[in-house]
Order: sequence, then C-alpha cells, then structure tokens
Amino acid sequence: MIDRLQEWNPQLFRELKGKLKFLNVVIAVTSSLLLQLVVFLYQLQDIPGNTYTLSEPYCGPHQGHLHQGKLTHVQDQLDNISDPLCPAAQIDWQSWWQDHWGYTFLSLSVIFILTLLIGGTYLLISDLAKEEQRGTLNFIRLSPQSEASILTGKMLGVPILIYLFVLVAIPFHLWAGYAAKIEFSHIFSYYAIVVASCIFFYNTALLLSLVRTWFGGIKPFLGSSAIVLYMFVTIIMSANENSDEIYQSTAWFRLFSPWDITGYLFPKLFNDDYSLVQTWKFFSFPVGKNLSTLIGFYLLSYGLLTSGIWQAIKRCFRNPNATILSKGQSYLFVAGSQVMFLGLAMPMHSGEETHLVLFNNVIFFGLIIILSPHRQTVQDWARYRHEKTDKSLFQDLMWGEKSPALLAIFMNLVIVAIPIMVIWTRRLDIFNAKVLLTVFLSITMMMIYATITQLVLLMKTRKRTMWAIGILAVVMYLPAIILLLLGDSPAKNPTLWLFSSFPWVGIKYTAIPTIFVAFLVELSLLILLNIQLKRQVRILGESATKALLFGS
Amino acid sequence: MTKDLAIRTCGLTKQFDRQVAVNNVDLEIQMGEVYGLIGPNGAGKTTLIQMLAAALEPTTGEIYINGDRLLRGKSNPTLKRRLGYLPDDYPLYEDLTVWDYLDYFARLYRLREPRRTQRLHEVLELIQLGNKRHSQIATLSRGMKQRLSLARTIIHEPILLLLDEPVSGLDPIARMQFREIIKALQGAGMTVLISSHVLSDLAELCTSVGVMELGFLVESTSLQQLYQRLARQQILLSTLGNLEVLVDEIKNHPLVEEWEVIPGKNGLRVNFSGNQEDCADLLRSLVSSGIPLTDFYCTQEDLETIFLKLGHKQAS
Repeated sequence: MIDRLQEWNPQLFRELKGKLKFLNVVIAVTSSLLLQLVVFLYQLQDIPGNTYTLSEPYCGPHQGHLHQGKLTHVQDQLDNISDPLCPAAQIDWQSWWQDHWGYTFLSLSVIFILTLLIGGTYLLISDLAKEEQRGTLNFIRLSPQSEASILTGKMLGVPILIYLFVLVAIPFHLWAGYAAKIEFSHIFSYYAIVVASCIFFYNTALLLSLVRTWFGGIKPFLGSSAIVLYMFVTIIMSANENSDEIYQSTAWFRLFSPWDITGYLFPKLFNDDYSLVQTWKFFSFPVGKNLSTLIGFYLLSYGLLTSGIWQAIKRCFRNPNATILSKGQSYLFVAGSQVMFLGLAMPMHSGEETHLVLFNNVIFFGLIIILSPHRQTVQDWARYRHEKTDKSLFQDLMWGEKSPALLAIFMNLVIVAIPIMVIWTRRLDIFNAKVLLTVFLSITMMMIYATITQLVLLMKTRKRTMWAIGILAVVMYLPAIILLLLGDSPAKNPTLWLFSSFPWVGIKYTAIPTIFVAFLVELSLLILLNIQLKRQVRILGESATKALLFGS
Repeated sequence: MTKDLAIRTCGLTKQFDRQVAVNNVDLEIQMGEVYGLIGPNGAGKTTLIQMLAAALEPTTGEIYINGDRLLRGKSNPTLKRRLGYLPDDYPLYEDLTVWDYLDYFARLYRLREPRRTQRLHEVLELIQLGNKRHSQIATLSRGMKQRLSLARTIIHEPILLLLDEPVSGLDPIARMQFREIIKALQGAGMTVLISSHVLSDLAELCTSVGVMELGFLVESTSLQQLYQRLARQQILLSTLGNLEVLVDEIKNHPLVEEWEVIPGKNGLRVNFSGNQEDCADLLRSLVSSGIPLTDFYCTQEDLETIFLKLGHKQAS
C-alpha cells in the first residue's frame, strides 16, 4: 500500500517522510485528544448540580433547548435568586445531554474549519516559499512529474499533521453529532463542504505562493492574515444576517466561506432556525430549496472556481514570471464572475446595483494588477515581437502572452458594462444619455488607472509590484476617501465625484453638459497617458545598438 | 546531422533589461562530447546553461536537445528525462538522509523497482558516498554535498549533463574525485556540458571548448583543433657545457621560432613549430654535435595560456 502510494505520488511520500516524525505525530495526536477533552469538560461545567433551580431551562420536561440562549439563562438566574431548587428527578437529562452534545459538535465543527483553512494555508504558503527561497523548487519543476502530481502531493502532504489532528477528532465529532440527534446527511454534507473549501483555499494558497513577483518573504503571513480576515468578516455577516437586501448582493462574496452553509446545516450554530441561504435563487432557480440543491450548488461553485485557479496555478508553476491569468482566461473569469454576481443578486432590490458596481471595482483593482505585464516582459515583447509572431497588433494586444494588457482590460470592462447597462435601463425604464455617459466615465477612469499601473510597472525599481499596488490603491480610492472625509457628499459637490473611481454617485446631481465635459477631460488625460506609455514601450523595445548609436 | 547533435541552439538570446546576457548564440555539441564552457564572470555561461536546462525562458531563439525542440511553458517530460542539470549553488534538502534524497528524486524521475534500488547503489558507489547513505545531508562536508548533488543529477541516467561551475570551492582532492566521476560518466556515453574557471580541469576532461564573452560565443571548437591552431610547442633544454654553443645550434634550426635563456639555469626555452618527429631530429642533431645535454623536454602551452592569448582575461 505504502509502496503504491510512493509510486503514485513521490512528492506526497517525500512530504510524509519529512513531516510524520514520531515526535510530531505524538504532538498532533495528543493535542487533538486534549482539545476533545477540553471541549467536553467545558460543556460539563454546565451540568445541573445541587443548586439547580426550578426556573432553569432543564428543570421539568421539555423546557430546555438552546434557542433560549445563554444570556437569558443567566438573566433568569439573577432575577430568580430566591427560586426554589429543582428536584433531581425533574431535571430533563435527555434534553441537557442532547443540547450539550450539540454544543460539543458545533465547537468541534468551527475548530475544524478554522484549523484546516487557516493552518493549512499558512503551512502551504510557507513551505513553497521556503522551497523557492532555497532553490529546490526549480529541481522539482525540472523533473518530468506533472504539476498535478507535485501540487497534489504538496496539498495532501504539507498539512498532514493538521489532517491528523482533525482525523483523530472525527470519531468524537461524529459521536457528538449522533448524540445530539443531528442528521447524518447534514453531518456528511458538512464534511463535503469542508473538504471542498479546503481544496479551494489550498489552491488559492498555492497560487499565491507560486507568483514570484509578489511580496517575497511576508507571503505566508499575508496569505493567512487575508484568510483570517475573510473568515472573520464572513462569520460576522453570517451571524448577523438581518438585512435581506445586503444579503442578496453579498451572497457571492460569502459563497466561498463555509459559515453560511454550516449555519444552515446546523441552525444552532448562530442560534437561528432560519437561514437566509434557503432563500437563495440563481436566476430564479431556487438553489436553497432543499439540502441537495444547496450542497450541489456550493460544490459546483467551489469546483468551478477551483478549476479556474488550477489553470492559473499550472501557468505559474511552469513559469513563475507569467501573469496569473492569460488575457483569454481573464475574459472567461470576468464573464463568469458577472454570471455569479447577477445570478445570486437577481432580482435586485433598489440600490443593490451600487454593491454590484463596488464589487466590480474591487475585481478590476485585482485584474489590473494581475494582467499588466512587468518591465522585462514588455521589453521582450516590444523588442522581439516582429521575430516571434505573425499575429496582427490587435490580435496580439487582445490575446498575446506578453503584450500590454490595456486592450484586454478594456474588453473586460465592456463585458462588465453590458449587463449593468441592461439592468439600469430595465430598472429605470430609460436608456438616456446619463446612463451611457456614466458607463463611459467609469470605463475611462478605469483605463486611466490601468495605464498608470502599466507605466509604474515599467519602472526600473525591483519593488515595482508594491509600487503598482500602492499607487493604484491611492489613485483609485484616495480621492473618494478625501471627499468623504471633507464631508463632500455627491449631492453637495457632484462634479468632483465625477473624477473619482465612483463617478456614478455624482451623475444624479449633475447636468449632462457637465458630465460630458468631465468625460472629455478624462478622455484627454487617458490619451496623453497612452501617448507616454507608447513612447516608453518604443524606447524599451529599441535595440541596444540603436540606443548606443543614436543615444536615445 | 541534427540527430547526431546533443545540443543545438539557433539565435539563442536572453536579455535582462538593457543587458543582453546571451546574444544570438548558435551552439552545437556532438553526442558523447565533454564540452567545456569558459569565459570571464558575467560572460553569460550560467544564463546559457539555465536556458538549456529549461530553467530559464529565452527571450528569443530555439533550443534542440537530441533534435527535439525544447518548448518552455510545456512540461516536456521526455526531454526532461534526458537532461541532468547541476546549478552552481546545488541546493539540497538538509532534513533528509542521503538515501531518502536520492530515492525521492529517483521516484520523481519515474524509476521503478528493482531498477531504482540498483541505480541508487550504483550512483552511491560512483560518488563514493555508500557509507554515508543513512547520514543526514546537513552533516555532510561541502565536497560530499557537491558529489551528492551530482548523484541527484545523474540518478535518472540522463544522456545530457549540464554542470555549472561544479568544482568551485572544492579542495584539490575533491576536485580530483569529481574529475574521475565525470570521466566515468563520459565513458558511460553521456554528453557533458561543463562550465568552469579551473582550466586545467577542463583541459583534462574536455573534448571541445567554447569561449563566451559579453554574451557572445566567440569560439567553439574541439580541443585538438584549438591546440593545433593556437598552442605552440615548447622545448626546455639544459646543458653541462657552454650555453653559447647550444644557442648557436638552436638559432640556426629552421623550425625554431624564438628562444630565451632560462634565468638561473644553464638552459633555454625554445618555441618550436615542428612535430614530434622534428623534435626527435633536433635532439639527434644536438647530440651528434657533441653538446652535453642534461635536459630535453617537449611541452605544449596550456589552455590557460591559449585563453589569455585569445585576448580574454580569465580568473583561474
């Protein structure tokens, strides 16, 4: 068996050999057993004792149950300080144990998610960063093993001690679920979701590790911090799902966090029998109607995005200097993300378009950074394009591997703009110049940001990625933040907002001629920036001989 | 023709920013050769080797290994099985034992049992680390680590070895051991491309050499032709008698190009353009002239002298 495993995946075997040392295994198993004991003992401290009063939840049949909440319980205790004691025979032990096994089960479920996702991603990123730093990753790259074999080995092997920690706790978890009378279909659905989310997050971690140009040594810290933040934000959102409106338009964002679905599978997690996941529709198809459609939808979403990330991983594994996505893949990604946003957000409530545009804004922030090629790539492209390709310039800018990404970003903006225009037109029942100008303004501003980023990425400095991210963040978001801090609401000073990355907020309060002038100003700026970019690319592409002879 | 070439490159170029590290290199290496790549630091040797090993993407140009085009961005599993690459910094997994390390790479290169264990023993014997096979890599000396890296490079029996500065930082004994291993590998039919600053090692190992400078391959020829073309034959002579008499005999000989007195020794250093038979004739004529010779030693200019003569400055 072990030998077959070794033949099947030498990378996994190497990881197991390096990690499964006796002491490590003992520590993982012991800490898992200790954790189970602590969780169990923590519940036992609530066990009804000699001072249990009549008014407490488990005194008398069918009084208990978790939905009453612990705070109420404490409050009751304070209010009824002179309450008579509950006779021992009256304590509903069955309910008490059922509820407290439920608590144990839920505690372990949350611990599993946090340990696997946060710990696993940290280990993976730091392992690959170490291999890259040491130079050993290149040897693995140069071996004839497929990237699937090597990276699967990494995903299965690097967090093996965390898997061991969780696996040792699974029997107790299952027992707690059984004792709490939780349906097995729900428990196994939970396991399926946890496995799918692990695969998704681990793939994301691998992708982050393989991009050579990003962040260097602080990658493991940044990667796991980002995941901690995401888990924290999404658990807060899941625990406070009181606004149906916000819920719909943020559904895609929370879809990849396991909290919503865990809350649905085990309603006691957030003390809420009603989970808004049940109301989910995907273009009017009620995915939240029952357990199987919902789990199927989750697994499908995880699967689709993971396979997209996998394509990017394959690119970056073979060539760490490649952009994460090719231009063609970016069109698919953006179109797919729009289907996901709209599918989950439809039918939209009033004002939800704003969320949609905001999300797209963030997507484009990432896309500009991901797609824009760096100095060396642009230089190679400009210098040797005529030798290497017979494609037209348009085709090269649209699909080429090394060409500047401005046309590709424009195409992506068009892909995003079309559904937004359709929605606005349908909602407002108009298709007027303002809608059109809003779209034009937004696209022009985004193109300005993309051009600035490309110019920054042509700089000679080694830290150009950091510079590009910093400058892009500043030009995209700082003007709006300053305007907000100065108390300049869009209604008060709409013209200034037209020059921020959220021009649509000022449109309502601005006359068409003003918007048109703003558009012309922005367009002129875009043209000037592109002339500068073209000049720089031309200089970069000149041969050294020409530079020497003509001193350019 | 192409099929007989282990390596062929066409217009291979790598540019880093404004600097062209490798400039339009057309390299051809026959199968079974040991090809030495020499050149000053920064000449582009490491960049060239990295591109041949598929570890670095060329800016432009093509690479053929045994006639098959190397395509970067593709996994090239067949080509990779033919290649063995040893970089100059030879990183290792210090947490593994010698055996586990080699076993891991043997598996990565898809060696199956029983061949794998057999190959591991063969390689350990070749690099003389059989007695260290259960030692942690962290405990090995620098020379041992270097040999272990070479073992990793050849574990899958590649037909082309790319060695970048393999003997740098090694003591004379380790260097000699390394040379013996390379000779053994050549005997096994491997083609070896080796870059080194230690030209005496290359002179002993190589069948051909290439000289790189400022990214250009300025010379690529067999070692034999290089010696024929550029190495002068020298004869060292000493006499018990009068040096003047010896000088008179020497300067009248038609094949003597120039001569100089060796200070502190009653002898001469003569640059001689003839072959071995001509040397024998000269010796015979000197002896028959009654000159009491105590020394008559034919030698050839070494690779380092030739390299310097080519106008390059080589750190040795």
